[in-house]
Amino acid sequence: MAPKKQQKGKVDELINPLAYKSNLQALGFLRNFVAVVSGIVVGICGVVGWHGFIYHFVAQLACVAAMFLKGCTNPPNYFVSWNTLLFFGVFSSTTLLSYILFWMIFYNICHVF
Amino acid sequence: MAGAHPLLLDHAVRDWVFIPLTLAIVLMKLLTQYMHQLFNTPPPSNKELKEVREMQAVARAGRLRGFGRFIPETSFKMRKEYFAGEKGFFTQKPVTRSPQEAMATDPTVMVDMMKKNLTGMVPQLAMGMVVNFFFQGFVIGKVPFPLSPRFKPMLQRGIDLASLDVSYFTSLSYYILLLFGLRGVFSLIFREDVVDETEMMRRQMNPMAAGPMGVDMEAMFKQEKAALAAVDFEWELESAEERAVDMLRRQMKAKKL
Repeated sequence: MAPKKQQKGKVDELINPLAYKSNLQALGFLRNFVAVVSGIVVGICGVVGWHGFIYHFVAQLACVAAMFLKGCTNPPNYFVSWNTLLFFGVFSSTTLLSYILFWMIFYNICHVF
Repeated sequence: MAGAHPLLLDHAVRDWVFIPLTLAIVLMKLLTQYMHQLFNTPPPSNKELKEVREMQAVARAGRLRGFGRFIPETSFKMRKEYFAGEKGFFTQKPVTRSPQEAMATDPTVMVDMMKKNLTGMVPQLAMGMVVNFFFQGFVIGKVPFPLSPRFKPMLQRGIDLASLDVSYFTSLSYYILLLFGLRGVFSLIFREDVVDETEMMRRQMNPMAAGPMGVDMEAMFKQEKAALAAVDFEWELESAEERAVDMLRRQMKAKKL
């Protein structure tokens, strides 16, 4: 797991930019991967309708749980705040579009075939 | 009525269109990615020594302004004198050409742009035309969620059936969706920023973006000179003891709580 950033008292906070960037990259990677996999699963199951997107957001929240398991017990130590951990890359176009694409492909292959 | 019934699409359409199209686009994107990596070595820098010195001087002056508080006052004044003084570095006339001249006389810029275009946009456009030519006029799949009728022209180019459900899309729109969606997957595989075409398009649409070739040196020199004259200098070491005492006090108070 990426190294912690240093924290020096409540007022003077130092952030090691390399560590922070690599933490964010790990999170983004995980989010992307989960988007693709959840898209495939949802497509194979044949979910139709707007509520299919709920599965996407559920899967993204599962990423947060995965991060906790990986050792990030205190999010402000690894990411600057809780909000960053929860919302980074959830609404980014790459993850959403990947989810939609794979959902579409596998839905078409399995159900419209 | 036709919208209420789910359309039954032939198996042959799936076999011969959907899967081959997907595979072809994936392979093409892979190919363009590798070509981009191979061809995109940075152009050999043909700058002379003087130009490099000037660029470095501007960088050093900027750093001096930013971090000057770490060095004692006399050192700072000496450096400032060297750059912005009466016979300082920035008063000499710079040798670097302005970017317009560089663009016109230097052929490597043109070659660079052509290479970027060739490996980036052209294969996509060509593939789009191929897809449009071969797979035109029929519906290829269904989007899993209901859409408003305004998406019809976007998803169903070339089909004028008014009663066809908006959820069905043609191959061209599928091609564009693939293009956008595979970005995410490729950034997983290649571990680096793969979004080359969208960056290029954004850069082309943004006329304010500065070119990578030499910036207008004269203006930069004047800027740096004025900025250096305006900087307010204070040696950080002077007040360091007080600040350390302050911070330690705060830490002790926090720990006590």
